[in-house]
Amino acid sequence: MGAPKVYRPSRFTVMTPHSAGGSVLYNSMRGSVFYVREPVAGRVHDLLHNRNARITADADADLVTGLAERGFLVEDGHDEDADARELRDGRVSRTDRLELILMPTEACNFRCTYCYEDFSLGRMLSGVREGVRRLVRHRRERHDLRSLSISWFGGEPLVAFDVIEELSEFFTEFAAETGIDYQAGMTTNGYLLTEDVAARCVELGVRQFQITLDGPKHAHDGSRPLMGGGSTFDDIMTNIRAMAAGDLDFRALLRTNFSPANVGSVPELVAELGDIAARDERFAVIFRPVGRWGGPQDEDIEACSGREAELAKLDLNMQAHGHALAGGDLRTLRPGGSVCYAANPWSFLIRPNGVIGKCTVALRDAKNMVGRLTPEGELKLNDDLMRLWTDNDDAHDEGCRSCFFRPSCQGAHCPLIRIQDGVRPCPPQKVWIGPNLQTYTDLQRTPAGASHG
Amino acid sequence: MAERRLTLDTDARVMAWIGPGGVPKVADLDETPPRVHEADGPEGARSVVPGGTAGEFLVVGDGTVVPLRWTAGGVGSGDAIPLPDGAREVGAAGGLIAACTGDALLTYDGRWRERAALPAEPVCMAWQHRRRSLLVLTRDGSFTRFADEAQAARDDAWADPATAVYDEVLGALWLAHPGGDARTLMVRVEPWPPRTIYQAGLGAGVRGLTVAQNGEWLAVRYGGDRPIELYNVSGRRLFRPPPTAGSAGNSGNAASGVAFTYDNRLVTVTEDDRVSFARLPARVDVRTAPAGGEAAANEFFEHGGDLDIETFWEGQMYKASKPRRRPSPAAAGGSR
Repeated sequence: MGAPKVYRPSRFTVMTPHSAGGSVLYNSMRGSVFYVREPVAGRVHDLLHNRNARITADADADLVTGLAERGFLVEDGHDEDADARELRDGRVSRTDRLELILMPTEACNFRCTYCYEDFSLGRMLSGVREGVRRLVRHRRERHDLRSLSISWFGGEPLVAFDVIEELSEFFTEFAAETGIDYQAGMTTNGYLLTEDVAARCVELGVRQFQITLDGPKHAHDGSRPLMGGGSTFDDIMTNIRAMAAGDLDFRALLRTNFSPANVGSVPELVAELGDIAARDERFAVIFRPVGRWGGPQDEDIEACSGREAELAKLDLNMQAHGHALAGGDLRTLRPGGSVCYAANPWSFLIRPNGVIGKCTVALRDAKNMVGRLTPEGELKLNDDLMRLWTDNDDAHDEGCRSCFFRPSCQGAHCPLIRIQDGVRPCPPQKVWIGPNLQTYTDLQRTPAGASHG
Repeated sequence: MAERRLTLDTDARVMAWIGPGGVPKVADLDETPPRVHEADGPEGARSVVPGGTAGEFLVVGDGTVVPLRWTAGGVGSGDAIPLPDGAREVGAAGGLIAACTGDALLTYDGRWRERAALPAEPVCMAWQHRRRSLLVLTRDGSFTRFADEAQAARDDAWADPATAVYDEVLGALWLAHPGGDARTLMVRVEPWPPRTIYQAGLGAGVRGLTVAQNGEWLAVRYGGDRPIELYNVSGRRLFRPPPTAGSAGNSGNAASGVAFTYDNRLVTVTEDDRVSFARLPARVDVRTAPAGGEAAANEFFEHGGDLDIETFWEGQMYKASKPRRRPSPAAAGGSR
């Protein structure tokens, strides 16, 4: 019989008390969230609270083994920092994956009050569309492309649905021909996502949709009107109902932007959505605080921020759970789950004129114009600008390297914040980890559809 | 001089028009400055419309239509295609040519085929790119839509407009003065069936409308001596057009014609065929100054309010280009 294993608490573990008693454990290298009742919680606390403790299974074998199996304890001598480095380096060095965020147009049929875009470019030029096709072919030929992810963005992408159809036909045929993995999704306001359009999208492999509703009709129509005015809520809900009633294979993330002005009415929307999509695994909901994102009405909007915003978001998640609507946020606690796409060297935003960006927010920031796609499919990139986005993370930030959340965000939650403000971009789910863990625990412990008080 | 009708290709990057003597002219607007190329056209060339793909146009003459194709090497003309008798509206429909007569919608794929009967004279025919369908408004207030099959909808309130134009962004037709009254309507045609969404305060006497590629602007041509004005759709206000580079003064000269490029420039062609530009603000969020609503917008304009558009938008565009940190975009993942 060998010497007993010696463990120590993982530096990526946090433990937070639950308001109803017991504690919640989270490990960011595993992405595991685990609730422990009293009196076990007290014993776990005794084991984990001292980061320098050396622990053997002699005294509390089952507990120690269980904690080790879930990653809350690691073997003494194990280099967890090396694991984190490997996680980050593995992400950054991938050459087999290409993620394109395509803007088939920057035009939009809505004029949301908080929108930061200026809609300056029309439909994607034909030369740019040809460049996209050639880029994908080149990536396969030169870099052994195995995974292609397409995100349609805008403007409102469905305004240029013909561009989406044209390129998606190519992507599906190319994927079938080469055997690469192809996934596609769309961020849409949902107004033009009629039953026939949704079916055509799914047929073309565009199966993931993010659709925004800012509350029930009166609230939504106030913040997300048609350009020039006009209600949009009823048409979007008609489209969502049609999708829910059919048997199409898709995933729809229903997003609600909340502010002090509308947060009180969001539960009304949640109930309405519950009537349509309860227990339908194709649908999930997320809630996001409205920020001052740079739009022309920034001075006038009521933004939400800080702990108040995070708590409101978590409460809305519980409300949704009460109506048997799945939440779409848990992935942010997983390893790499809080890394921004802009930090990935294989992710590119392609604007209708061929200008390449990294971030979908700072469209007019010169630092976000990192290159140009030629009609021949060549990415003419400025390496210095690219590094601002892709090599500006935990590898160069001592604070991030010592953080419990490092595997999840890798110091790359928002490169834009590092670039524009020179500060560390900590994600809100890390800053408010306690309320987040308690909420996710409650979501797991409460039956879906149980009313939320 | 008659008004120039400027036409852009499907990319909204190459422009064509009929010059003096009925000569088709083409210019690549991404060139600095754009060179104007002459092309061969049909006898009596009177108008030019977009073709089915980038760089292509259709020049309409007396009883025939001639395809033009612009490439970096210049402009080439195709064989003349005879138009059906009584053809009024001609345009591209994807890879086909479409035309309306007084009572039918037809497409050409080597021969003309009737696709739908029309209940009255056509006012406007449009190709809906994103739905790959043809849309025709007829004088009796009927919409006829043809993709694989024809659909129709009618409302007396849409009958007999002074002019109409299709806007791909809103999926709507703008109808000026239907039934001869003062209103300009925005009639949504997508999702089908059509319905009126709102009215726009363009004032009386509208004779022609041109829609910007992003739907943000309407160039409004009026009868009489009133110069062209720009209506901002989201701000619901009229503006005097800015001067275009190379033009002597206001670009709103009715004889100059206007068009909007894919990158939101206002283009004019002078009487001597010089092309000039003005970069437009992409997003005007004028927000009901001074008092709100369409009436206020008109009042502002008609009383001589003169917003310094350049100064106003320099400020706005700067804001739009500089997101703020708190609350961070990261916290919310952007505005969608």
